[in-house]
Amino acid sequence: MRQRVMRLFGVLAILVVVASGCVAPAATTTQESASTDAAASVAPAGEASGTIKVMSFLAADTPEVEPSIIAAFEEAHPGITVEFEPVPFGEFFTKLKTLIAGGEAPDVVSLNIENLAAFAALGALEDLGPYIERDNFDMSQYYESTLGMGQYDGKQYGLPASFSTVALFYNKNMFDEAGVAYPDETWDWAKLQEEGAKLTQDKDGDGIIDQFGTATAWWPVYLYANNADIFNADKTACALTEPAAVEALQKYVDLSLVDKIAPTSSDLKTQSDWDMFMGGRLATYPVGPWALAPFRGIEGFAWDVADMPAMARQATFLFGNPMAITSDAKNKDAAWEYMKFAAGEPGQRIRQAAGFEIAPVKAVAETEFVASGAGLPPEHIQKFLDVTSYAFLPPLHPQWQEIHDTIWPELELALLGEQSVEDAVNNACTGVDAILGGG
Amino acid sequence: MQGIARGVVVQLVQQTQMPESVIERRGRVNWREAAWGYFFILPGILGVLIFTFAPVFTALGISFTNWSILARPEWVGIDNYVRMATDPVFAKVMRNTFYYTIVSVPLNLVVSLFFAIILNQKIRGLAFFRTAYFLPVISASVAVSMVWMWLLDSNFGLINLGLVRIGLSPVPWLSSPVTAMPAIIIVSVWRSMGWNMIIFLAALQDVPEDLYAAGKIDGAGNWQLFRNITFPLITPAIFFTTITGFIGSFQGFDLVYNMTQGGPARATSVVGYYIWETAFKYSKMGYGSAMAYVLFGIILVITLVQWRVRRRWVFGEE
Repeated sequence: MRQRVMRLFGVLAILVVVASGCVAPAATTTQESASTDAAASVAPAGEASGTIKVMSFLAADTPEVEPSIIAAFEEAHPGITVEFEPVPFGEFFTKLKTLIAGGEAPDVVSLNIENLAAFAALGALEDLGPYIERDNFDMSQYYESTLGMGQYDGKQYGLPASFSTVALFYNKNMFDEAGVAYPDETWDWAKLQEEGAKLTQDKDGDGIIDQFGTATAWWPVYLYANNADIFNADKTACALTEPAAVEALQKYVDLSLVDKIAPTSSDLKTQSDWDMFMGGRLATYPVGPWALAPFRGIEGFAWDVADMPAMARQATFLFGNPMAITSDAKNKDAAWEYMKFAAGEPGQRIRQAAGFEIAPVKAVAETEFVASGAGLPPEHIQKFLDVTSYAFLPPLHPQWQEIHDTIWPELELALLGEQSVEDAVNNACTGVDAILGGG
Repeated sequence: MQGIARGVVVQLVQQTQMPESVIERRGRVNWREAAWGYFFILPGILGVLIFTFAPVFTALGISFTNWSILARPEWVGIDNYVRMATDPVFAKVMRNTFYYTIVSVPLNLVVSLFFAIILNQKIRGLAFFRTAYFLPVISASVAVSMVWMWLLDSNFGLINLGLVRIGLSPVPWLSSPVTAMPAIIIVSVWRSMGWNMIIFLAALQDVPEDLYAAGKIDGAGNWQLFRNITFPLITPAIFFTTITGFIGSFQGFDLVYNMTQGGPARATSVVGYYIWETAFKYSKMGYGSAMAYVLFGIILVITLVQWRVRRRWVFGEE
């Protein structure tokens, strides 16, 4: 019996070794194929065929959209079959990492901006430059400022599939009641403070502010608006301690703590700025076109969109989702055909018709996105396209997540008035420099 | 995690209490029967080997590498362990973890013992109250977190409404770095005291009635009865709950993940949460594994110390 038991444990030991060994070789192949692919050039154009796997989180709210793009694609390219796997955003990147590590990478994936940089940095994405060149694919059909979402280290890894810009929503009734002219492109910081003060009101005199003049956008936008940045030019050091950056963040913090025209961070814990705007407690609110559909349900007041208030210059965000080909893709030519279709004009038309974000293809956005709001508020829906002229992509760095989590707790303390902006940026830069210097 | 750690301890305790008949017969166990026994526990053993031991030992290896999942792991020796010494965030989350543990474990013991003593009396609705106090233990932690986030809300929360009603000023519970950790501790004690309470109840009911009778005859008051009879006799239960409490607190994660995401300003970021962030948000499997092993070492040392000093105070161990 003892022998039998020993044999049993022997088998178990082998099982364990096999089970744990399963992971390692797969990871190695990723590395090798990534390096060989980088050197390989693209074969001349032929008729692509076969099967490709597409994994996407795009348009999760309207699950029929991506399949209808695929159906249209398959009709146009009878030789190619698309296996589509929709995956929710929340679990998308963990799943993608696991698939790539396991050698089961899908051919085409949707990404967000920061993960495109992260995956490209690890050699997991295919450089699209040679394909674009080979097929003379027209990149000028896209808004110039959307192309950056697919770029990393000077190479084009993704094509923009959808984007959103942030513009200033405002409650027209509040402006009328306070006798303030509607915001326009001339609004600078002084104007925002001045008019914001008039729009901030404690209506019943109980010491609690019932109506705020404005709410803040995501903090990096204020850096861009003051000609500052998080990093230095080559992203080797933290630049938040530069005077222009400190000044911008000071103005951002002061909106709620000194000017008292924006809700504080503890006000926002109770009611988000989104709910405040919908509930008629907020006069101006910077947010993107994803707010259009919900806000069109507002009945208590009229609203419109305007330009973002400027500091040294105007600035806003351009968020977006690119599509990319993985470097482990088994059928890259067919994958590229799909990219040209799904991220090009035909796919964009179908996606735009569902109306969640804005199509990065100018011809589609300027007709269908604008037309989609005909007869509905806001009157100036065109603003979302106009602001692309001064729009910035969110910070691009493969370790952005960690960098953000280093800076934000320090800014939180500044927003609570528990440390000065100078201390916040000094502490943040110590941490960020440590990450940039080999973390 | 807490549940698993407790389960293991409970199993260990049960295994050491093997019935004597089995021990007597051990010399001539029927091997055929034993083989069937091994066969039946095989799925369990396989599960533990493949899903617990294999990852645990793999993680030890990973802790000496830089590994982002996508690229091949790169051997870096003890770099990850060295880095911990200078990582200000790691220092911060360690302080937070000790704060959380040192406040929540004793508080939990006192509160749960208090309720166990009350529920050991002959009061009306006993079964209802015992069930009610145990309910949080088996509730889903996401649900618990959501309910408490509403209760703790700065402006509309029931707790602050109550404070204002009795003339106190409202507390910005989860939105201030000063009060966020106490809030998490309150929720964690509320959530897990039912577990300790059940253990204390069982211990209290094991205290022989005649000892109290004898004490009363000798003229002891309630406090003296508790101090000299009840307390010494339930020290094994206190010992057990202290050890499992420390292990559970050091591994704390879910309430922080659900309620504060470590904020505001990292005030509630505990080691368990930072390990998760490092490994799965920042894709630094090596550094995350290294921190997990350091956490394991700390828990091991604390548990061994507690095991050593038990002879000084635990009844029946002297």
